[in-house]
Amino acid sequence: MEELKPLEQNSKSVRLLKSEKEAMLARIMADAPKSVLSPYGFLRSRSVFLYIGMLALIMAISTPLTFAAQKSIPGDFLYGLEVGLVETIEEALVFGPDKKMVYYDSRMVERIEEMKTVSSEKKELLARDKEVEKDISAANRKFRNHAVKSRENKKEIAVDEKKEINDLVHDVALVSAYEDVLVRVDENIDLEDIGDLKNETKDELAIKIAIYAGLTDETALREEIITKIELSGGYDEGSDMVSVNTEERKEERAEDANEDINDGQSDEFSLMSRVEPVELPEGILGMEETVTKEDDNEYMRSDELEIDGGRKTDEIINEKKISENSQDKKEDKIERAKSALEKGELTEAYSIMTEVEVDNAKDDYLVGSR
Amino acid sequence: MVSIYMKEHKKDFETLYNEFSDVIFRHLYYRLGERERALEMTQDVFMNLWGYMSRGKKVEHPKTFLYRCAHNAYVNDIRTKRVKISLDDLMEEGFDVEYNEEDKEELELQKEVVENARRLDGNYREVIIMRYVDGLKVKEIAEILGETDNNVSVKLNRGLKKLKEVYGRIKTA
Repeated sequence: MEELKPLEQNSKSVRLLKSEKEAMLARIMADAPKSVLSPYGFLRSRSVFLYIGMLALIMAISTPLTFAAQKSIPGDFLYGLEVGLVETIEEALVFGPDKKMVYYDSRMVERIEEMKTVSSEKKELLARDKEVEKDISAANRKFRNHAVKSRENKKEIAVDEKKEINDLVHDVALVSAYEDVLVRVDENIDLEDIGDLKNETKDELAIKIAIYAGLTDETALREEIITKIELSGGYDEGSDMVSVNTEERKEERAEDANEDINDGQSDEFSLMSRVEPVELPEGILGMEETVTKEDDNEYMRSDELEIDGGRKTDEIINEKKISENSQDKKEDKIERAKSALEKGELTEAYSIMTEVEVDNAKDDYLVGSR
Repeated sequence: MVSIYMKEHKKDFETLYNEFSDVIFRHLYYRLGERERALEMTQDVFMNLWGYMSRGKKVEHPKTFLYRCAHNAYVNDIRTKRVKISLDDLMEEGFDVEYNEEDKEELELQKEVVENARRLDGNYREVIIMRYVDGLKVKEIAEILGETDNNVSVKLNRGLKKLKEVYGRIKTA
């Protein structure tokens, strides 16, 4: 390119003069530390005590007491030890952004698991209300702190926009899952901090999506959206753009619910589902998800069902209802994404499918037991 | 044992200094447009490198490390909006280089080359300089700036268009 020739050819003439180069090196060496750190430095003086101290701390972590603390939940006597001391020491012993990121994420999942246990043992724990409340506040602070640090480490090791988006999907899912279980522990709990955290992370994700969609080639982006829809079951195998028959699926699931209850398989349902049909957290880009009265009508036949112990019918039907509503919402989103795709609104379609990914990841964090 | 260890570090450092001091200085001079400031900042960049090496840390990719230090120093400089410094200030600080007539001519020539390149739009100057003056690959630029390859390529393309416009204006003038 002709325009670049002068730029490229003349650039080599711009350099340090020999005298400047020598003076600069002399100056650096004069200001430099007089000695370098020896690789055997740890054997000297105070460092030895530091290493011995660290060793002692590692041993302390492995004692039965700290092991018990690690298994404790909010309201337990040892919970303060877990979040106050054991985790602080563990955190100090994790090095490198990639390992730190994994550590912080694992702590966030641990907080979700703890809250799930608290919500299932709610009645017993509420008798010790103040302790639980104090520990939950500590858990919230820790969760927020770990979320922020995890984000920082993820940013440090992110190689491209796509990885950042994937990381953010999991961050939003983790925070949303935590918020969900907190509501389950106590509906009147102060969610302001966690809500703010979720909104900040969601905003960051929305920005990343917009940048990524703006920079990606249209054909490639279209294919990526189609793949996401396919992976979410939005297109039937072997055929293109076949819409999901939502009504049929609802009927199938209602039948499944009936069978599961009669088979006594209710216990395997996630704790996530053991809630009153409250308002679910808003979608990733600001859409409200609520369980509506109309949805309830589909499950009127729940009154006819009976299982052992008397619980349980309504409760289990509720679980099913929430889970199915969540599934319906996902299907609605997939339909909306398909429609946006057909209209050529690629950023919109990509955003919606990212919401679906967040929902799926959130469900993964909520399903499973301690 | 420690002195042998230090000697090895010093030797490694000098090798890197000889290999990269000109390119880092050139990069900063093109971006700042001020020779004195570029000199001072180049020194800071290599002080950083020496500080890093003297703590016993190994620099896996010295080129990327140095460019990233230079980029960060440049960004900090812009943010803090430091007062312009003169050659006299620099000499007062201990950078006592005496320039003869031949040197002064060369400095004038360098100034002209840099000023011509700086006619480029500020938004794209950074990537154009890195790609066509420093000869860095798109991937390396992306790594240094913490951006995606795609983003850098877009900036390069737009920068080249601007360059054509600037070049056209110079030719017709």
